[in-house]
Amino acid sequence: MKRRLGLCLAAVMIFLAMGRLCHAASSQELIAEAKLFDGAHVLYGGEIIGEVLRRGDHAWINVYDGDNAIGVWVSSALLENVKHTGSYKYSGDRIRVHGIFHRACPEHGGALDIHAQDLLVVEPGQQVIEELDSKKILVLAVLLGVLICLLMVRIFLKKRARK
Amino acid sequence: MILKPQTLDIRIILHFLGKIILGFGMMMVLPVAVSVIFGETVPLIDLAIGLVATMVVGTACLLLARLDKHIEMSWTHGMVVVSLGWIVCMFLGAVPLYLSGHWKSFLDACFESMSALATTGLTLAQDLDHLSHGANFWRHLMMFLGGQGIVVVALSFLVKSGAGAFRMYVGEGRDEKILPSVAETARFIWLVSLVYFVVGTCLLALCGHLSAGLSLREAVFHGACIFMAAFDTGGFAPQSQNIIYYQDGLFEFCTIIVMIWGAINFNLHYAIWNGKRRELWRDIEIRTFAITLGLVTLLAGAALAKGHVYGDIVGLGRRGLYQVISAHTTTGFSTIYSSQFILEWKSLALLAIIMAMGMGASICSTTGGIKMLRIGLIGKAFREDVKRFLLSDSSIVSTKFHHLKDMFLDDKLVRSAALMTIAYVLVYLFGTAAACFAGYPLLESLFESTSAAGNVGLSCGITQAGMPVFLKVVYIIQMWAGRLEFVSVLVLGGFIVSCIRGK
Repeated sequence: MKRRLGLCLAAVMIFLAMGRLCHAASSQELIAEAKLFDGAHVLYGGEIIGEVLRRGDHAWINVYDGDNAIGVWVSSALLENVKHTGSYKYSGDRIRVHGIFHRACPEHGGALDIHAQDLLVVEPGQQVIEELDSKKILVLAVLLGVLICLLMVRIFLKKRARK
Repeated sequence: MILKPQTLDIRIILHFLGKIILGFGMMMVLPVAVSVIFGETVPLIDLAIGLVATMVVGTACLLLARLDKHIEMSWTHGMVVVSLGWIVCMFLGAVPLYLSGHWKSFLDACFESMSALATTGLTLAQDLDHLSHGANFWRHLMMFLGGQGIVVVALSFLVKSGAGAFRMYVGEGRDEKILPSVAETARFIWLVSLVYFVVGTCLLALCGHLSAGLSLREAVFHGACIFMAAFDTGGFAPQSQNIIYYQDGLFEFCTIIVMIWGAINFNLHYAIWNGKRRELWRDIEIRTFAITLGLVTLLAGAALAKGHVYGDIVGLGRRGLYQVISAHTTTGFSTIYSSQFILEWKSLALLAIIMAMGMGASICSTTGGIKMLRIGLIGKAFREDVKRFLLSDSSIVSTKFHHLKDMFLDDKLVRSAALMTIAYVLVYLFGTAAACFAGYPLLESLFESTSAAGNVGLSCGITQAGMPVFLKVVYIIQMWAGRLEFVSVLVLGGFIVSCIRGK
């Protein structure tokens, strides 16, 4: 336990140190100032959404910071601690990535992306518990009742018209 | 003197409106099934409320407007039924979306619903990446239904074929029957669409699984959604990044094939099904599409290359050409972020994209915009006029063109094409003026307005939940009028006036 805590602390220290060396940027800043950041080391953080798209010994993850999601090209080894990705049923792991930003990546067909060099899971994701709203069930029940009544009237009127 | 509509007119309209609503409601069973498959309980309730509410409204219309004998619709009835039907379906389709909590207001959900039905693809969804599979499927299914035509749905199952059915069919922006009966035509459209749906979904799912790296279950879901959005030239995608999410060139290439396939006239699909493949190369629409696509690609490519926006030819193809094809087929898929259009693309490239969006693709397809047949006819008319000046006064100049059959260019055809073109341009300008009034710059306003009225769906960043309410309403009207090609919307306007002021 102590060893794990020490490792986590070391990782956090390294990231804090990196924060001084490279620029922490939001997706909006990266897209708006893409020319400025092109080829620079950046720190970018957010929730992993969708799925981890594996390509051999690397993978694509899409990281959403609240405004936009940006594709991060990452080696599979760095993804060992990633457990959850964001979807309807899960909130994805919140990560912080240190990597090189490309405005139009020559390796990936002109994509705006980040090639990760380090990745830290800041907050693990978790399952989202669905909560049923009793009001919605009541509305559904009332609507079903109305529909059944309307259908009965329709059948009755059709029978009467036939007679 | 304007005549006030009789009670019988209202009953006829309500009766057929009810049938359209019931047809639309029947389709809501599919997203309910998707929610069951993915084990999503809350979205299941939301979709069930939408489904039952739609059935209640549809049945109530039929009860209120019972017709004891078969009555044929007039042109006015057909047009009013269609334009009203689209509005009512917009409201009903928005119910499950709004209940999901991913749209800030009911107006936003209505915007999404109309954007889907009109195959536009502009979205106001919040946190799309956490939207349930059921609600997400419903967005895409609405696109599929709107693309084929919600009247086509009703015609296929619930309405007897006849002159009235044809009037509704025309009201939905289609004026070419494929088969002698409208009901047969509607069924053929569905048959073709369903066969393509199965093939296209398999293709995209395989590509998504093997090349893009999606899990098999997600690959099938994404394949189905992307197929519906691509074939119906809609432009929605299950994730907020649109096509960027997949980060895969092969997947992008497959979407290009489906987009172009969806942009072809259904009559040409019929010809291809019957082995007449030569029709593809002879038709004026395909030829015009090839020329205009070449021109806008050249313009955009030259501007992007000159500005060194993308370093190599692959980047130029995947980020530049892709948007051009997406714009010209009026799909709206995107492999770049919205704001990159304004921040990185040069004015000439933007102009090329706006031109592509404005022109659109084929008549009797799912695309929006002015359409290739009209552009082709106007081009031919120009050429004929120039020829007339060059040749001697005594010479007779006639121009032939091939659209399903060989035809001679006449003034009536050119007039109708020119009128529709002017109408589209005016609607593009109307939306531009509205956005300028809201304080957006001219180029951005023109881009977004053309995208909305041309049912494209590319955005340069104006379309957001925070944009002014009146602009949302303007875009909804543009999407609706652009999809129905104005006539039925104008007839509805006239009908309302006659209800108020008629004697």
